[in-house]
Amino acid sequence: MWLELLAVSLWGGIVSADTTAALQIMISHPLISCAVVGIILGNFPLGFTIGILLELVWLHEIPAGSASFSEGNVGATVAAALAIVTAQKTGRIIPAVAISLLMAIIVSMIAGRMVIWMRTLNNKVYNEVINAQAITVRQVECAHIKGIFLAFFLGFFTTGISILILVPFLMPRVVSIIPVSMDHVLEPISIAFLGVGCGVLLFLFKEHKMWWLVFVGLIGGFIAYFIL
Amino acid sequence: MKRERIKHSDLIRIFWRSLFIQGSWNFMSMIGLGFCFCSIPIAKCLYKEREEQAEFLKRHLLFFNAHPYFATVCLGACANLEEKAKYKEQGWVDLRPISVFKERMSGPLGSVGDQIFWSGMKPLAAVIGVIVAVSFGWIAIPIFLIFYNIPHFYVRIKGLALGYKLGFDVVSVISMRRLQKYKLIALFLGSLATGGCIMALAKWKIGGDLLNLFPFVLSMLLTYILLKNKIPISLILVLVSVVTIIFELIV
Repeated sequence: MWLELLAVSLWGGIVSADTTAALQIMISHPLISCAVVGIILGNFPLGFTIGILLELVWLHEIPAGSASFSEGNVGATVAAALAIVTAQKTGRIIPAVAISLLMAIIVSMIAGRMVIWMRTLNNKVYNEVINAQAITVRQVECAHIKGIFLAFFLGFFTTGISILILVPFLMPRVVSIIPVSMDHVLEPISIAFLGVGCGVLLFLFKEHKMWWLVFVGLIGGFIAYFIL
Repeated sequence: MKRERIKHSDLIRIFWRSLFIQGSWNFMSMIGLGFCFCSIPIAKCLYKEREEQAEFLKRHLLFFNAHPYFATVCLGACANLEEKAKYKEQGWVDLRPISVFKERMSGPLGSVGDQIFWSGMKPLAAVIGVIVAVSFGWIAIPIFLIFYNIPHFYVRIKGLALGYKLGFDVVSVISMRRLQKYKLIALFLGSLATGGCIMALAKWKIGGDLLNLFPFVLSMLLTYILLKNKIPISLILVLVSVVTIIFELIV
């Protein structure tokens, strides 16, 4: 189990690097990152479901310029790992998913703060290069690669530490405290997260004054609902 | 003097490095250090002396900010301009115009990229990914990646090639007016897909249970209203979860 969790932490590092520092081919999106966590931990369907639940939630936060944003991708990766391991340990999927989704919010906020810290550290590295007597190719390359590794380690440590704290201690205890009769209360949290995702989409596309197209899509979806 | 020209292999190296352009993002030069890192193949090709290379690096270490995909346009153009400047073609006197050009390109390249990719393509790909995921399962993963990355890599490669070919004249190609249609296509499809996505998610998670419809619709409307009032998404998620739990306890 610990070897798999180490692999998840490494994957968290790749997710963090893909979000802002390297490639940016969107393998960091929850739809993919959570599915990969599912494959690593041997429960692809649950990982994939968590990915769908969280895919749309952070979509309006644009990692452009000096904007600060929640690191939702790392949060989603941790949430998928927590949900799978807790469900495996306690045998209760509904509270495991609900609490993991809530944990994703906290982790995303912490990781978002760490991105700012990482960028401040990059300031230092940049200063060292620009103030050098004679700048060399090697110096620039080293400084830049340092930044990429920093982004990787940010994700690696955030995922790893979250898993270390939450998996053995907090999650199973919290889930065991919740009575089984409360499961029906927690189940709609995942539906609420989907609703939040749809609200984010409406917000994004309302900005561009294309309301009528959303309605056309709704009608199309409604028709498809009955045909399929 | 033997004229060193930038070769295809150099452009491929620049392209490969451009995939990591945001690696050392910092508040002082933004992606200035990344830009310099990506332009190292130009320095190695055109300048053999250490002092000349140091001058080149210093020139390209200054502030630069652009969308990471569209930054290749400026990288290509700089390759062209550096080459011309070295051999004093077309009346080059000093290298200042290169820095001015980079400075001027910085804003438009950021704005164009943000609007087309971050506000257009990314939400569109995500919406399509979610619709396919809830309807057909895992196949959504390759569809999402292919759908997003074809335009992504097209922009990176074409941008670099165009920049290198046109130099200063690349400005005329990169105006928002010219690229407006791509943004509009993404927004058109995105808006349409949003409606479809809402229905697909409703079918997937709610089914025929009207009790589940309430948290879905309530959280959607609440999110929309709160985002309009600039409330952070983390707070919205907590609030929506609490409201949902209270509703379920009452019902």
